[in-house]
Amino acid sequence: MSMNEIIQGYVEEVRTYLPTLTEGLASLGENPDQPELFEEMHRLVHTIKGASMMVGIPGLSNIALQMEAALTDILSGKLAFSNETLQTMEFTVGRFRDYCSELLDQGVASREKVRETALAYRRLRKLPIEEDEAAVTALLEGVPEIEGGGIGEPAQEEETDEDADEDSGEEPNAPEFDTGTDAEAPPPSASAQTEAEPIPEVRLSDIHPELLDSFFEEAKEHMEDLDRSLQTLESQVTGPAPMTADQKEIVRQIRRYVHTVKGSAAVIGLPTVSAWGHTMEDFLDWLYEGASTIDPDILEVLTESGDLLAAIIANPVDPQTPKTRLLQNRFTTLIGGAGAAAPASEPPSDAPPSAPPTAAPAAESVCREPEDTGIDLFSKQQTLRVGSDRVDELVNLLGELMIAASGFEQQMNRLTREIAELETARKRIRELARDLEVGFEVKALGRLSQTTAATAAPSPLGDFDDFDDLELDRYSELSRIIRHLNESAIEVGAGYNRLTHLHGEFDGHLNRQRVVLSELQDKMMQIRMLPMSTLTNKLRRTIREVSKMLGKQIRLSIIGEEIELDRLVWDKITDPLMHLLRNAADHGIELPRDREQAGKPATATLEISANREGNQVVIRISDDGAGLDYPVIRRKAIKAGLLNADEEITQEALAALIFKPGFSTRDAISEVSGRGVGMDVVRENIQALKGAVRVASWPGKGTRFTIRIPLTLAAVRALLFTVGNRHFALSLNEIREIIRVEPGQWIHRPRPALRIGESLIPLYSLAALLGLKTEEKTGSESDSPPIVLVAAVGDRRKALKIDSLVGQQEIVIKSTGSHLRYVRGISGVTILGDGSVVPILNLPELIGEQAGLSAARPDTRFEPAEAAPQSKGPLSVLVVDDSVSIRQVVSRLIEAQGWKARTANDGIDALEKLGQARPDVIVLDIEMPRMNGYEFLSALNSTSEYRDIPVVMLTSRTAGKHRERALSLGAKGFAAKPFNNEEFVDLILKLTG
Amino acid sequence: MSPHSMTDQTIEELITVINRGLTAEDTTREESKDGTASAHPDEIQLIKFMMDDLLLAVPLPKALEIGRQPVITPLPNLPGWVLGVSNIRGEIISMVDLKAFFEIPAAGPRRDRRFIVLHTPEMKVGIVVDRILGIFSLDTADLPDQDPLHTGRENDGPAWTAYISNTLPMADGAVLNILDAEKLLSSSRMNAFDSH
Repeated sequence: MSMNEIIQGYVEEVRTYLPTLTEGLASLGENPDQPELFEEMHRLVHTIKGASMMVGIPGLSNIALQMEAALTDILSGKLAFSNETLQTMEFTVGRFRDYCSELLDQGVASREKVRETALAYRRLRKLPIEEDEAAVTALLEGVPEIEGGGIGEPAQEEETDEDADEDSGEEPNAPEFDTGTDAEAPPPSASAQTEAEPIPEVRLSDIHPELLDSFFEEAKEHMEDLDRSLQTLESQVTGPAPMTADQKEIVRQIRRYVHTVKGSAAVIGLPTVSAWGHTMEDFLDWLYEGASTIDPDILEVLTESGDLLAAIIANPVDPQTPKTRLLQNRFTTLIGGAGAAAPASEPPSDAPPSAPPTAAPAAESVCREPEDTGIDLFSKQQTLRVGSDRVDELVNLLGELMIAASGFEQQMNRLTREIAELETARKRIRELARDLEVGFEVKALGRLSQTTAATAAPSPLGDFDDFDDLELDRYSELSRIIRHLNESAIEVGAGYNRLTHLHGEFDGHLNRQRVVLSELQDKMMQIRMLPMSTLTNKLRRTIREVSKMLGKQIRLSIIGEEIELDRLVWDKITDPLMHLLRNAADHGIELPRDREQAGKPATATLEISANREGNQVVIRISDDGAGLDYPVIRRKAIKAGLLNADEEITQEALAALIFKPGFSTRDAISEVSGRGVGMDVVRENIQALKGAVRVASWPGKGTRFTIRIPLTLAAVRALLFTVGNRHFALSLNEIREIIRVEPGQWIHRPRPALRIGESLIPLYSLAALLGLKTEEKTGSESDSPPIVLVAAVGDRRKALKIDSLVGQQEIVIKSTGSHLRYVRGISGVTILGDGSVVPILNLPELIGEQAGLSAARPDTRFEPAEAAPQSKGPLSVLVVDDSVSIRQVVSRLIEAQGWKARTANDGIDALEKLGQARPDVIVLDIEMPRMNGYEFLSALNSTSEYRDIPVVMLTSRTAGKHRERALSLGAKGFAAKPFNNEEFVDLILKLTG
Repeated sequence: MSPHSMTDQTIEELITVINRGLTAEDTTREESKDGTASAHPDEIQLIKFMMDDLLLAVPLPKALEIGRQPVITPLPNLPGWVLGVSNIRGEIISMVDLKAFFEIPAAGPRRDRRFIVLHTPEMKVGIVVDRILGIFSLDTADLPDQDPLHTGRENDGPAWTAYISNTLPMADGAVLNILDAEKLLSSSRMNAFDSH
């Protein structure tokens, strides 16, 4: 055995002590009263001290010596086991670990470490500072500056995998492994194995829990697939037989699963898993490429290996060295046996004889509890696997619930108003009662005095009886009614109080509900959301590898790592992203030489930026490469039959062609980007997420892909307001200020702007941006100072003129439907409690910050929306009738059509209502108090402003002369009470066109 | 009965029947009991509708819902033929003015219109039409193998005839145009909103 092998073996030995030391210290930290534990630790440290000196690592020996001395002091009661002692010792164990992991390759700066350790322990043991120097010098005698280094120089084995992206040679927390064997395994003679390198310790606490979780989830899936494949193989293989093509394919699949698990384990820093995975993969390589036959033995070993992999995944802290060694020997035997042309040779002596494989043992072992070996540094939380459609259902239900809640809120506001009405009604009753009382008393007194005066002359007993009886009776009856009226008023008042109280309670409940709802929503989001940072390692690695392979210098900058998306979305978007990155590196970015010639820095910049815009996450991938090669695209498109040879087409439209199926600009499929995945697949993947991808390119300057992914559920606090009589919403966090503009703040030249304090803010008319015609008819609004929203667009402030504020509200952002996946300027819509749909504005797009980005959209001419005649909003109807029930019946009918109804009691009232807002049609009764229908018609006719509003007469007077009179006064329609609903609606429709 | 009430009373009933037919396929079987023709495998059901004096039909399985034109919320930056979006039972569905999409000049604004929600696996679109006449069955054997009026390249009819899969003379002298919903919804014009 060479010295190197001895040291390797020794390192392995020390490594096995580490868990006990770490665990022991942790336990002592909790309860120092465990002398036997101190003794055990003392023994281990002593061993390290002695053995290190023996194998020639004096530095490590001296460090162990320091700890040993301290432990001796503690055991003899000279030193208390303080917190400080604990920390120092933990630190020392960390040093041991450093030696284990660094000794073999880069070496350890021993002198430095010994000095540091010695000083720390001397302080701990209260040894005199003056003697420090002498003591340290003595210790350092014979200790080299650097111990070890280059001892276990592993034989470089090139990765043979086709996707190198799974491996990470440069990942700091994931050292590369060539095999999982450890030094004490007998060196395999004629096997595919290479020199071993010890597996570094796994520290789960160093790994981001989210990464760990997703790794476990992923690994579980792959292990399940692996089990299924193994079962298929088992069912087919009953004895030694030549491998069929199908079986080879299954082996290939298994290798793929193991490879993937290995790769991810290496990336997140689980060397135990990746080491064993790698060993297994080697064996599978042989099985797939080298072996011609398959037999139950091989399968058994495979199954056991799979189980072991599952076990290591379940508890990555434990490398399961004995088992891996055992299985590795069997691999060697099998490979060697096959090499000796003796398939199905006798099983290795130390393995159980191969029993005919029965029901899959692997299936159970995957789900096995983590074995309780090693230190359980973390306890994995129980996870639940739920179908994503179920979560989607919950998310949808939650959305519905929020909409329902906002509907409830609106009804509550109405209730508040109704209750206030009740109070006024009560007051009115009281007043009436009082009036009645006073009035009656005055009258009664007056009459009484009159009668007394009149009856004074005749005989007092004459007709007193019949008179007085009647009067008195009536008096008491009336006063009783008045009293009742008063009591009723009090009862109504009490009812009002009770209602107010109830209302308050409701409001409280509603508030609590609102709080719980928003919490629920937060949790719901968290269930599914992951930040982009979970992806970035993979992306960076891809670029590193690709740039190395292509000989290009690429700097990848990632912006918005904190942006969160549904984890399923990340899953599905990873491939398209990687593809776009590879594409950019391969096709877009030029070689350093070419770049320098073009006057660009040799190192290209590739940028991925994620942003949340409204209900979308926008991911942009931009490079500063050569841009799209339009002539080549054109040629390809013609060749692929996507374009006629003589067809004139814009660059944007050409760019869009790269997303067509069967389009690839390179003749030869390149190793980097031509993996059979075309841009059409990228687009398809993104569309499957209801997202969209666009490309924009500037020749010589670069290319930018913009991916938009809608959020599944997003609720924001938004401001609702009106512009041009339509409702719109804008997320509150985009709004900085809401102000009423005073005339002095207006600036008209050189462009509309606002002066706020010292600064000038450009002013935009939302109506113009939205292509709405501002209706100047509503003169009342122009009198009051206009309302302006000051919003942050990018890093600048912009002022937006609106018509009126409606209020703020929690709204659920919905997409604009499966048809209109992307509407410029709109980031989504929301449904209010009353079912109406309100667009949510996307200011950056509306104000045109991103102009020029969008590729060809041939059919969209940005026509203003009012090209459609239906877009005026609901019909508004004024119902004028003195009967409250007729008003109600007609209003209800009108509202059932989705129209708006307003009511007036009589002609005078109607004229007043006209002044407030102009209806599209008036429904008019004839007989009414104050001003009847005919009079109202005449009044209407004399006002030019209202003359053209169509009027429908609704009356029980069906005689011809009434009809003629009405029509002569300008009524457009005539309906008789009782009316037929359908006919009536049709009549209104006919009149309003 | 006045002419207004006639159409509307029956329309409401019709909508109920059709919507029932859309949700459950039972209607076909029920009708076949009293009708002479049994539920023939070669029989297709169509929703017949009008735009001005143009008679059109769309296969029943392509429709999800019909009804009176709902309240439509217009959105900016869209071509005129997209009227906007509507809330159809909690789902946001875009409404397309089919007449405008077909570039048929509007005879005049109408308020009382109907909509039909058409669907493909990828998307749902509401088309707004003037009137819905009813649902009727058609033996596929009665259909010409090829559209007699406009086929392929020889089609010199107006542009919208590209979306017609077949043309059929009716007993009353009118000509029925069968709409190819699939083609309509997957046309590039219709799909100009997924980004490019």
